[in-house]
Amino acid sequence: MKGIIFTSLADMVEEHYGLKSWQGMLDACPLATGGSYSSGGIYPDKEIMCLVGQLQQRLDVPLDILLRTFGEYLFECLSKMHHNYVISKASPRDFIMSINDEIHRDIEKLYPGTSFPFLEYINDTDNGLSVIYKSPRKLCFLAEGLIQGVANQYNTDIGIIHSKCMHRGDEHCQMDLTFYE
Amino acid sequence: MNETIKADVNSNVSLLKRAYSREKRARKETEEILEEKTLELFAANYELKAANETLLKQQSTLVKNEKLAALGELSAGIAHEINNPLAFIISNINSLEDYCNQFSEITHAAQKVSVSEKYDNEVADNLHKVLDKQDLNYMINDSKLIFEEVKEGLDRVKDIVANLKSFSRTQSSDREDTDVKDCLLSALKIANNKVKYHCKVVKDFDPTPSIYCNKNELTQVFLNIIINAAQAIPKQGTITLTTRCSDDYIIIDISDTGIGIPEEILDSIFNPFFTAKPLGVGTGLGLSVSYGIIKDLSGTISAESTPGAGTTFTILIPNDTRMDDINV
Repeated sequence: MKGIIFTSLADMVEEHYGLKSWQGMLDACPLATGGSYSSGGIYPDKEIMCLVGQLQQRLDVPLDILLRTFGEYLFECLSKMHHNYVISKASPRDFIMSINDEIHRDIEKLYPGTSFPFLEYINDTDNGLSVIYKSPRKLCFLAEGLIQGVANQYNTDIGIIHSKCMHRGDEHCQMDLTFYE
Repeated sequence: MNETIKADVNSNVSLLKRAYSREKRARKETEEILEEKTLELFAANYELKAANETLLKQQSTLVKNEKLAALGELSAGIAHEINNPLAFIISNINSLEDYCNQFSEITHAAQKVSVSEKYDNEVADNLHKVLDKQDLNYMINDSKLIFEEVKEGLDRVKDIVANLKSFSRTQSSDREDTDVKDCLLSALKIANNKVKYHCKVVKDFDPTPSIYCNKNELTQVFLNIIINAAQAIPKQGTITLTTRCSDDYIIIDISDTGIGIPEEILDSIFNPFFTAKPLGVGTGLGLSVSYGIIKDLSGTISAESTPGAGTTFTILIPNDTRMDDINV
């Protein structure tokens, strides 16, 4: 997984719960990297899963809520680093629809070998859009948080209904979005 | 209490030390990634620049070739159109000269009659007066000069038309196995008078395989370039002739240390009638003819020049010119 996910998680934990909590999480996980992450690197998925699991235990909150919160924070970090992608799109819908074909494509060029979730866009109506999410990582709640992060970035609201979910036995996840002016 | 604070401080210091150590490793890793990406970018940029340069050169060559091909067609048309009237002009001038010669003989006979004592009569007197009045001797002598000049002019027109046809020709003829070095030496020998007084000639010949071509034509190409080189050297200079081989081509370089060719006209030097020489010194067909000859061999001819330093003509001829002959 891309290093920026790790560094963003570290930033979020250190910012809200202190350096001690982050150190505790690192100490509690068997990390091949020693917990040293840079945004440009790629690190094992199991390390982020373990760290998120540790955070959940420490905060005692449901995983979906934790991932949504982290998703929002992560989008803020990403948009600071790659602001051009945000300003080049006029609306949150345009931005979300560019993720698969533009953003993921550019990341693949810069960091060959990066694996991405598969996104598909259906039910494209005036104020609605459904996003199909498929990934063996099953991080759909993180994706939900990221979408919320997009809404924050554009100072608008996006209604999200997680109508299908791999965690509930569905083949893929589906998030039905409603864009409010 | 102090102990508690001390332990707390120690714990924080230890925490910060570990965080610092992680950050240091992360920074090092980032630097390594940055270095790697920079090298990749540098290599990619280098490749792109090289590819772009190649494309620009190919584009320029294509445009030049297209232009020369169009000029070739035009030249062939003009040559054909001029050739026909030229043929009957030459034929008629020759007939007219014969007639004038006969007329001249008649006039001489009449002059003899007019001054002969045998014909002391009014007719002879009148004839003498007419011959004197018209100054026929001057006319006859001047006619000879006029015919010489007209025939010289017609010969020049004939040469120009032949050269135009040569520039646009598509047929190979009289080909034989030819050693490039022999043609260079032969051209040098022919141009000797124009070279020997002010040029040092350096010969650097690597052995090259023989090529299947018209020996005289190839010699003509080298001759054109060597004469141009000699004319480009105002006082003292050097002409260097080199031959070498690559996998697919025989490469001939003819360099001079002359005045060079300004960049703005370098692209035009192979155009028919293009000349930078003073009026009357060149027809502007030498290099265009050379271009046609080399093109017929599926080769290329190009020039690089630095004004004030000299010019190098590079000719590339495929090793296997026999195949082209079969294709023709």
